[in-house]
Order: sequence, then C-alpha cells, then structure tokens
Amino acid sequence: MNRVKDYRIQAGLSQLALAQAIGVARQTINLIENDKYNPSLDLCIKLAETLHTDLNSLFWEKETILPPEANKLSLREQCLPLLSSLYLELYKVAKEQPQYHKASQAVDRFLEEAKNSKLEGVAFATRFEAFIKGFSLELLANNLTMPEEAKASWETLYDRFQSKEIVSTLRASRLNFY
Amino acid sequence: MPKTKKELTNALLKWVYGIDFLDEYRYQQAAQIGNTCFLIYFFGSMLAMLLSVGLMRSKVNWAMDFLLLFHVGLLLVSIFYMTHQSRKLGLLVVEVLPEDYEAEKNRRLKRHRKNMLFYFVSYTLYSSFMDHGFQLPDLLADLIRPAKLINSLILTAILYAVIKHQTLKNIRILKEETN
Repeated sequence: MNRVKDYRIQAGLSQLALAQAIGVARQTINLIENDKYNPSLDLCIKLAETLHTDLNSLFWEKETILPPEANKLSLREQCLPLLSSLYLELYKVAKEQPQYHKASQAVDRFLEEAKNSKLEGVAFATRFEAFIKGFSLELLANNLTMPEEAKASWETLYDRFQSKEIVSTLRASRLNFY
Repeated sequence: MPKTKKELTNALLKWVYGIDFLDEYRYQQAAQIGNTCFLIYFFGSMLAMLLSVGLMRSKVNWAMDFLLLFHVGLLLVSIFYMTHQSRKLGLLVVEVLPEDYEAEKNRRLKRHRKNMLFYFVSYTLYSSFMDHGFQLPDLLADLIRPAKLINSLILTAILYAVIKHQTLKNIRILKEETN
C-alpha cells in the first residue's frame, strides 16, 4: 500500500486539488491511493514534488527497501565484534595470568589489521584462516588452553571460521589457484 | 491545432472515445480498449473472409452480403465493447464543482449539437449513397427529397436524446472535498 493518501492529507490537499496540481483527473488520484493503478515514473515524480517528499517515502514498501543480501555484513564486519570481545577477555585474563599476554597481543594485532584493512572476500578469508591456525598453534606450543572467560568468544569465532561461507570461499580460491 | 504527433493522437483519442479530460490513466485504458477492439476486428475479418470465400466457392449468391453483414456485426461488437468499457472504467466522467455544473453542461450540450449537425449531414449523404452509389444525378435528387430529410432528422433526434442523457449522466458534481 503506498502512502500517497497520508502525504496528501499531511499537505492539507484534497484529491481534486492534488489532481489539478499535477494535471490528472481526480479519479486517477483515487485509483493510485487505492493501489488500483500503477502510475508512470513521470507521474510519481510529479506526485513526490507536489507532496514535498521523495519516491521512496511515497511508494516503497518498508520491508523491501533493501534486498536481504544488502543487509548482510561482510565476513570481516562479522568478525570484528567477536575479535574485540576475545581480545578484551584475554586481556583481562592476561592481567592475572601473564602467559596469556602474547595471545592477547596476537588477537589485538589481528583486530587492528581487520579494522584498518579493506580486505574482503577471499583475501580476508585467507588471512583469517592464517590467524586462526597460527593462534591455535601458538596456544598449543605454549601448552596453554583457552581460558574459560574467553571460551565463548573463541568458539563463536572458530564456528565462523568453519562456516560454509568461508570453507567454500577458501576451497574455490584454492581450486582456482591449482 | 495539434502540433506534435502525440498531440494529434491525443486529439484523435479524445474525439473517438469522447473523453473530455485525457490523462495518463485514461490514455492507457483507451489504448487497451483500442487494442482489444483491433483484435476483435482483425480476427473477425479474417474469419468473415474465410467464410465468405467458402460460400463463394459453393456458388452461394449471398456471399457478399454475408461478408458485409459480418463486418457490420464486428463493428457493432467493437462499438459495444468500447462503450461498455468506457462506462465501466469511468473514462467519460467529468467531475465539476457545483458552481461550474451549469457552464459545463451548456458547453457539452453545445458541442453535442454541433456533432449532431455533422451526424445529420453525414447520415443523409450516407443513406443516399447506399441507395444510388456513384450515379450523381440520382444521388443529388435523393439528397433533397423531403422523406429522406425527415428520416435523417428523426434518427438524429433520437440519437441526440440518447447522447444527451448519457452526457448529462457523465457530469458529476463534487459535493465535498474528498479526503
């Protein structure tokens, strides 16, 4: 349902006055308001100009303003809050247990890199993979396990790493490479 | 006088359909009605042609009459469809404020009187032509025959009454501001 009627009433215009202003019959305005006629783009623009608004406000359905994909964050954007919380949790742990200091610094470095770099898609997925593997190996090499406080963030991050999106992106990039 | 091709088309559409105020919606609807009428007439003509050729091959001497009558029938169907759709979609409706009603009514009736004069002349010519074809002396003599003129006058009067009724029905008074 369009919002021509709402804007017309808001502008204090009758159907006839609006019709005369844009050069159509009153019945046409009535049909447009009741969704029985799809006006041409020219007429839509005239309507928007007369009602001092824009086409989106008049005709666009809120639910379909953007396609679902447009609202989807990129992998890098999805990882940023997870990395932030992992860093904060490790930082807190490292204050009491200094052996985790290096681990928290590693997360901090990657977080900064992710924030500042414009890497997306395959490039970021590759870099993310390197970080996850390197970080896991470093923990193993130092005989450390993930502290309880940071476990939730780490697991979420790891799940993200194992997500279909990353696995398929990395697999496709390797297939292309070979 | 219409200057551009679009203005000419609009003027023709207004004249053929009798639309007084041709806006975007009415233009589209008129075009759609026109398309349907064309399809009815085109395929109808093909059918009429096919049937009349069949009749001619069968040595039937009313094949030509059949062809003509079929076309008249198609024309009537198209006109009926056009009138019905125009009324259904409200293409001919003119809305006026109460104070403008009389002026609008007089304007339309004046125009219809002119149209009826045109109809009277063309019908008289047409009916004489149908009787005498291109035989000019007979045709001219028939044109001034009182019976012919009275016949045309009666038909014109009937048509005028019908169209006047329809025209007045199509003028609607806007009683209050519609919100």
